[in-house]
Amino acid sequence: MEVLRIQVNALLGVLVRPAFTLIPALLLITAALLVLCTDNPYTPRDAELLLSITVFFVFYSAGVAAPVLLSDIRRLRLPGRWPLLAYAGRLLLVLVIVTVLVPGALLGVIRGSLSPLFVLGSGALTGLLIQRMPMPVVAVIFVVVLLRNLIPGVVHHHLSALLTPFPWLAHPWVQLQAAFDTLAVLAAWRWWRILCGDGQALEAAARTARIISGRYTQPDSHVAQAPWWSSVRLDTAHRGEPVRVIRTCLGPLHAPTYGVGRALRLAAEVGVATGVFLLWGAWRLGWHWGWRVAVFLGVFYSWAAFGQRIIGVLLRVNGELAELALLPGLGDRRAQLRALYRACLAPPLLVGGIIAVAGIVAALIENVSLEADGRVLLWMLSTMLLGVTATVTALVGQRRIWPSWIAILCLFVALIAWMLIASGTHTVSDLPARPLARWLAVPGACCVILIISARRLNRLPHPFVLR
Amino acid sequence: MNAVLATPAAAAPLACEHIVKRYDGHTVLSDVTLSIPRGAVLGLIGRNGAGKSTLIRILIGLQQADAGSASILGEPSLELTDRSKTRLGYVPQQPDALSWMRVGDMLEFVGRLYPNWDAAFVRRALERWQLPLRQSLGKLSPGERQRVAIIRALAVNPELLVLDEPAAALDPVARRELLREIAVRAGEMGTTVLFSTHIVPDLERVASHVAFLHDTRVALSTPLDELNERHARLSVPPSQAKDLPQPLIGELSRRARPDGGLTLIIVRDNRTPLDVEQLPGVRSDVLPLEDLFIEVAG
Repeated sequence: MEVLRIQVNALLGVLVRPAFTLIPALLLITAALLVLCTDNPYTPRDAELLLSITVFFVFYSAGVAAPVLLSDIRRLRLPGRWPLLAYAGRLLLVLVIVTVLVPGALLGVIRGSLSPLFVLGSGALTGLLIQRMPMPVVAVIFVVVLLRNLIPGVVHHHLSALLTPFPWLAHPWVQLQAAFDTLAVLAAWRWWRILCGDGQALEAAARTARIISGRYTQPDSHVAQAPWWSSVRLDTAHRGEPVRVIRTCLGPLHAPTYGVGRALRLAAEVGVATGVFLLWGAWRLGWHWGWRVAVFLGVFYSWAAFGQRIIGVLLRVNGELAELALLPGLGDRRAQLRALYRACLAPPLLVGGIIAVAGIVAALIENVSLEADGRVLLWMLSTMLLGVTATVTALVGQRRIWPSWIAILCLFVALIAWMLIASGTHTVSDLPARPLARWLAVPGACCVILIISARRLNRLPHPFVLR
Repeated sequence: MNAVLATPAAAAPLACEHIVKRYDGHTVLSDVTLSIPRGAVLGLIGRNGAGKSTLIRILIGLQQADAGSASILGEPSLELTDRSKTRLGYVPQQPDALSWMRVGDMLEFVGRLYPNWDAAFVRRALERWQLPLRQSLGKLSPGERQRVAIIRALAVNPELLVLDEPAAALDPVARRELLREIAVRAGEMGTTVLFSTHIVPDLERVASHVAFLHDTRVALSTPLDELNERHARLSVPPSQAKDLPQPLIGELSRRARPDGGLTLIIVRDNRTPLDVEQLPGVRSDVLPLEDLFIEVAG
């Protein structure tokens, strides 16, 4: 009983982390507000989307915590594996009732359809599966389920064309069920191996979960098996090339690579950042608003992706920090600082810049209002400045001032703002016409913090000294 | 007591003076002064959390002290030039760096940055220790990773070699080979070595000097061969204990026994017995290094 109590506490300890509770809570509240306070025809679908993301978060958290706990029990030779499994089963049942069945049934009544139950169920299964299967496979299934529900006409049209040889799959309802069934079978298969296998699958799952929860660092082992065009080029990092040496030390995401690999990586960054958002935005808002939101989210994403990695690498006391401090060939303190700035800031600035330029070109083609897009452009530049400030300030303090849950929170706020506009509850004209001084408040504050941080970094004996 | 060994700090390859370091208001190092003579092998010993790794990081410029100064090969540790960096080899306690690289790639990458990189030594060492060139570092066992880090540090042909608990993850065979390599480097090539360890027999086997880090200070620092001659354990009977002045000159530690007597560790400036040793009932005996460490730090 004592063991079970400890396990429950440990599980709750993982689940009460801000990223695992704040985001689902906010999503749930917003979904409830949307349903209660608006009478827009799109509202139930938006609420369904938010709820499915919430359910995804909840089950993802449970999927992270469970293998770690089971692995600890196995390693410590603690009794109580079967009581824990029984407990986990009960917990799973409660989670399913609270997060899938009840909200799904309510939304189903409002919409007069059972599809919300399947969409929420798909969210839960994706949360459980996302670590257990190649991510692209799971992501594709989930995105298809979401898009099928959000833009049924478009998806149905394309799927119907693809599924011509399989006429029994042509009906949208069958498609939704097929996706749900596929996810359910995959989840049952993968989790059966973890819970009832010989222990190897459990240990592998626990290792992944420890990495995800930040309790363990793991090399990017896939890099060693990467094809030549996406592999890191170590031959270009040598004496007299401090930027390349630092980029190499920062890891595969930053390290020099072959031209093809660089182009593909850049395309993936830009594509991931803008693709899905642009698709949805274009359908719901028209190109006029879709590109703006996509550009903003893309710029934001580029900073979230790069900044996190840099600080994570530089926090490891016996790792790359010591390596960089003692490696010859990086020059004096000023040269090291310059190289560090270039290595850390150039990639996200490049990605953000490409997205911003693409956005401006799209705006020119669409011939949209200069005033409205001036504001959006300022918004994008503020986002980039915010990214630079966050990175430099994090470098000074060697701590994450941009924890992952804040990044997710920002993304959530942007998503909600976008959704409110998409739902028709707000329009462009609802945005308050603020004086220029107010629009400049955030960039101004960023500049002040940036100058202070840069000065502090400049005063250090060398940029890689442990603080 | 702080320790300044025979060689003046200015000429020492590795030295620090009056180092103070605090973490969140908790003092880890207070007024630590230490210098290592050229060609010496200094074994730094201390209990867990004594501050050995912090002192090493400050000595080689990875960390800034709250007060005091440190120097490497005549340069301030925090402002090392490329020339000094090429003459320094460092093995961290748990090498984590560049874990995504394959062993061979990492050694090649690092080797390009050092002008005096000994590729032949790397090849020989990899073969001798049977380390897989194509395996990524993160997939190696802790012991294998430690060995790669040692090879990387030695391949530089360093004038100064700093190892933070290098033997912690090594098996006895690899540990013995490492100690032999350290002895050869120091004896034949004049390499100055600083290494921290918990394993006293290792220290006795290879160190020429020893320093005890205890209670935020260097409690004791001396050439190893003088250790037995200069240090003694005194057993003072209860009848003499109550009249004994506190502290005695050269007293390192004092422990009360249940019978009311005292056990003292003293250091003599010369080999002549101290007055206290002449008292009736006082027994003096020579301490092995491990016993001395336990008496001082225990």
